[in-house]
Amino acid sequence: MSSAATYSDVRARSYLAFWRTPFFRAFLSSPSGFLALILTGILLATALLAPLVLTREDVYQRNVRRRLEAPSADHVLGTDNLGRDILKRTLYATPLTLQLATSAAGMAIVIGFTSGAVTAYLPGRLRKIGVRLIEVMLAFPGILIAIMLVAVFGTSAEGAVLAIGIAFSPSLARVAYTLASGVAGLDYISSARVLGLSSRRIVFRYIIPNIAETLIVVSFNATAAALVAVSSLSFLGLGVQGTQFDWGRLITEGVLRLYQVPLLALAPALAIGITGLALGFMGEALARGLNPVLWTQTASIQSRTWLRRYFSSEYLLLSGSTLLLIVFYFLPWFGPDAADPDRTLITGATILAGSSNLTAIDIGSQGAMLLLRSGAWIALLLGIVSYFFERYRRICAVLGLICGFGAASYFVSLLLADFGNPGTALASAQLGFYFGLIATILLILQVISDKSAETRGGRHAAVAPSEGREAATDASLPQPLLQARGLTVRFDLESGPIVPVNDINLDLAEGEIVGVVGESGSGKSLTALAIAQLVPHPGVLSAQHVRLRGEDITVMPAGELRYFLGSEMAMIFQDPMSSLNPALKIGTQLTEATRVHRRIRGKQLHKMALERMADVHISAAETRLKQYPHEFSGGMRQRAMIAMGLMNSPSLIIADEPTTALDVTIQAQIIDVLREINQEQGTTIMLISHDIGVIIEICSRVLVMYAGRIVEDVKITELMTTDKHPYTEALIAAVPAFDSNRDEPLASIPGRPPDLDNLPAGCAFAPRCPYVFERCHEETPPLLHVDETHRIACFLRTDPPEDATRE
Amino acid sequence: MTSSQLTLHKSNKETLTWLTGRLGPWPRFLLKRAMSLFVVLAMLLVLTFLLIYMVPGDPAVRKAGIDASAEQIEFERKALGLDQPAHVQFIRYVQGVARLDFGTSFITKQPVTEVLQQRFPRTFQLAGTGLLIVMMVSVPLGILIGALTREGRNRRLEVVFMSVTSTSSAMPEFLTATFLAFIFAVTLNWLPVGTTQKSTAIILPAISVSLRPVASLARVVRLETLNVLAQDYIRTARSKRLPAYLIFMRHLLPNVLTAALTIGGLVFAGLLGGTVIVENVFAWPGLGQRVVDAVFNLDYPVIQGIVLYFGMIVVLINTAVDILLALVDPRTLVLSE
Repeated sequence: MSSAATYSDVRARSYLAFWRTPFFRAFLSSPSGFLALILTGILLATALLAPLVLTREDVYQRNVRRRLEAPSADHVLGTDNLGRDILKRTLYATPLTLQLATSAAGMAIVIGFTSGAVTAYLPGRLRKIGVRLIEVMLAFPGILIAIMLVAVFGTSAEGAVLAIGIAFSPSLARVAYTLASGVAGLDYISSARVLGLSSRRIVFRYIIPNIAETLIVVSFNATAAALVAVSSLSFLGLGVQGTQFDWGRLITEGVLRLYQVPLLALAPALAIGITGLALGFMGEALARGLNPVLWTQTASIQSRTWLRRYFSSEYLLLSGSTLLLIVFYFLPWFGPDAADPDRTLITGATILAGSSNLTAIDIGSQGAMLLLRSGAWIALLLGIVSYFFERYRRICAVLGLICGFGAASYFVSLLLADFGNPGTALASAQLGFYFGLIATILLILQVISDKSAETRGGRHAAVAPSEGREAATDASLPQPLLQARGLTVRFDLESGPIVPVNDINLDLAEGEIVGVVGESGSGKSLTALAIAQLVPHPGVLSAQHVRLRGEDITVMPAGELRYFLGSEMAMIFQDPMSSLNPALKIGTQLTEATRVHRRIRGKQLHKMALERMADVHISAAETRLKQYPHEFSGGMRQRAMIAMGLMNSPSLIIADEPTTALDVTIQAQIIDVLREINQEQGTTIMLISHDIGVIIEICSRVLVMYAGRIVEDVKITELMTTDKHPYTEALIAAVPAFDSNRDEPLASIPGRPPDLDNLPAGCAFAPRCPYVFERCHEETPPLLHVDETHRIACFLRTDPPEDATRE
Repeated sequence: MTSSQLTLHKSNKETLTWLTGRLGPWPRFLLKRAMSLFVVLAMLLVLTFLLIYMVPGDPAVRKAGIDASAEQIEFERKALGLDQPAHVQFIRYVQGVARLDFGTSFITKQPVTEVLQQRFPRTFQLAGTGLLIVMMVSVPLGILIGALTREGRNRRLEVVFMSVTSTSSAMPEFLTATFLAFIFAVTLNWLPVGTTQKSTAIILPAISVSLRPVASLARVVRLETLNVLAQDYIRTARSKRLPAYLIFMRHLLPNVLTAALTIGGLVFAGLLGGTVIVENVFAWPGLGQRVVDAVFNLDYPVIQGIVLYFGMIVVLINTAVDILLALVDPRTLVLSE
């Protein structure tokens, strides 16, 4: 299904209140969306209100007697070299700056998108020239083109806007070109055309929704870039002229006096930084909101969860400590006495506390400052640790609490009590200590209780898998090469846990070729990866044991495991095109594992590689080893993969759909090679395929998987004769035979493959099973022996109901 | 049909295909690169030549001065060759460029070539140091973060990385320069500003100029790392139980470097653009300062010369990157067909 359809479908259902729509949820699902809204709101409000609230006098009236002043109650951020209020001037410049940036970006967007889209629809040769032109323009630094164009258009605000509009259009043109030429060629567009939809409908219903996301993000980025460029030009003196001023121009004035009044440059610089941030966040959040794929992921996050997330301990620690550090380190520099920042703080604190005993404060508060300052650093550290490491989050929160209590009570006591008397201060510090002590004890208790709950739960889980019923038969069989018990892979997703591999028990005897068959999503590939200990993140593997040659590989230390599996097990994957590294020679890829695990090098290694290539019938091996994968054909690549797997003479080869990506004649080749290896070298092969035909051809035994479980384990020779699991029957019926009537439609298994996050109770196949009866919906059938070598997980076969009519 | 007949009867394009078909992959590749280099340089020449027509006002008047007499203006017009038809002017312009003669400044009467010789080394020093910082920081950083955040691990680290890089890539160079100067020169007084005598004077300008490209390249490298790590051949390498350093250095790095190199040329162009701004903050005596003055005074020959010079460097660097790419990744030779 195309994403366009999904998008419009969901749109059509938008009877939800706006703040509950998936768009808005996805928009707010990370802090950036939240910040984007707040920052944009502040910016727009400033841009609209500044010209109304501030008069021209506020920003232009000179007052030379009060020039270059530090921040005070009159002038919150101080004054500039002509005695004008820095904050007011910065705010006043907001609308002009935003206006210039948006109009420059608007121009760039209009020019860029139009020229890009037009280029995409030009005929062959012209189109090539157009693309080349865009590329050349792109290679050129945009700001330099803008500066050159300012010479053309003249040094003025309008000139700067024009220059930037043109200079920044090539990058947008390229985006538009890529999108336009990409989307127009997509399958669903061509099918829409075939269906006879009008161009207008195609554009609005299919093309626009699909490229809207990218265009919006790109537009916001362009606006941010334009803001930077306009400010840069103004800063260089090539933009806004005369009495007008924008942020860039304010910075020019400020940089000259950076040593005297830093805020003169820093205030407008901060304004640009905040605006850039708001634009970036907005683009990012909108992109997230407009991407329907992300909706399902974020839909499960309740609005309350993200609110709680923002006010959780790690965010509080981080924001609190940052705030403190800003107060301690950043603000004092703008105070009246830059050389002694502490005094600024102390004076401020005294004014807040309503005291006037300055000398007394000095004595007590030097210590307090030191304490608070180091406390703030510790809190920041705790915040960082608890942000990244969930394990330490609780202890960090409590330690932060202790710091907070201690410092706060100390500081409050200093302010409120007699500053000259250290006794009072000590008492309050002790108070803080006791608070901390109690908190620590509570924490330790909690941690202990958590731990014991965990171990209890853990043991419980470990006992659960089906054992016992297998144990009796195990002893009678010879020790298998591979034995897995209770193999389970679990993914804890935000939408809930799914278990794509569920309690698998299997044995592979030495020298056997065992097939694993099932529809896609049955968990067969993941079973293979689980046996190979390569479960992808965030999957969690658990098993009673997985023994290879009697060694339990689930408990083996990592280093030993690497060596053991590196030489005992090899894997062959589905697509030989992508499974070989395109940047490395075949020879390197063939030999590297042997070099690492068996420390064989040089001539001997080369000879081995040649032999293995011969094993898989690759001729001219000497040259072939020096070639890159792209010089091989598909079938030859897969044979090279097999040769690679054979290098360390493994006892087990797991082949995951080795023939699926190849055409039929090549498939037969690969099957032959695998059979030969099995016969000549006695290698055990586990062959995974969705094609039961392939499995019948080569395997001696087959494991049938459905919805993460093995539902049948049967010898190929018995496959056609005995009673089977209904799913196996359906699989076999779906294979077209040579003698099947071509006029009849191909048989297929009715119903849908199972949906792993929504499995029915009881047998997972029950909804599609023609023999289903009541018990199937209530209990999950266990995998039981019906004879020595045949296991089935189906009540119909293992425990048939008395009234059930057979077949 | 013999080859000579072929060359006689077929169009130029096919002659070319025939010619290149005879060569090995490397000469063929180099020939193609050289041709596109030539085309781009020609485009650059035309564009900079046209500049003089696009700029409002009469260059002759500008050179002679506002209060010059009609004869003087006429004299300057002749001297500049503006009385000639456009194609003659263009040929003269190209000839001049070929002799590395870009004309003389209207204002200082200094030959533009001399300006370039004096100023460009400083700009190159700044941009080169910047490029070094960019490559040394962003590639390891991108790979590290990519490895740590693969398959949706360490979501919080990803959030931090993304916000830090998006903030820094939105920071204009002059802002970074201002903040850095404030912190390290004004407040801490660790590093010098404005003097070019001390060797440490390059630190702040170089960092200012490289912060934005570091952030954006690190993001690209991280994305490319994630992309490569999700490839089947990495799974193959893991199934061979190779140690982590081999997986990263042999299987990941070459594939990631290709991507980093591809935009390396663009990064350098961006650095050159950044130097224009940063030079003006730190009073760094490179071409950036000079070009701004020239635009102010509409000093065409200087603008023309500097823009052309920058352009040529960018184009040459991009060609060098293409060749380097072909050396690193043999597929490029085939794919560029």
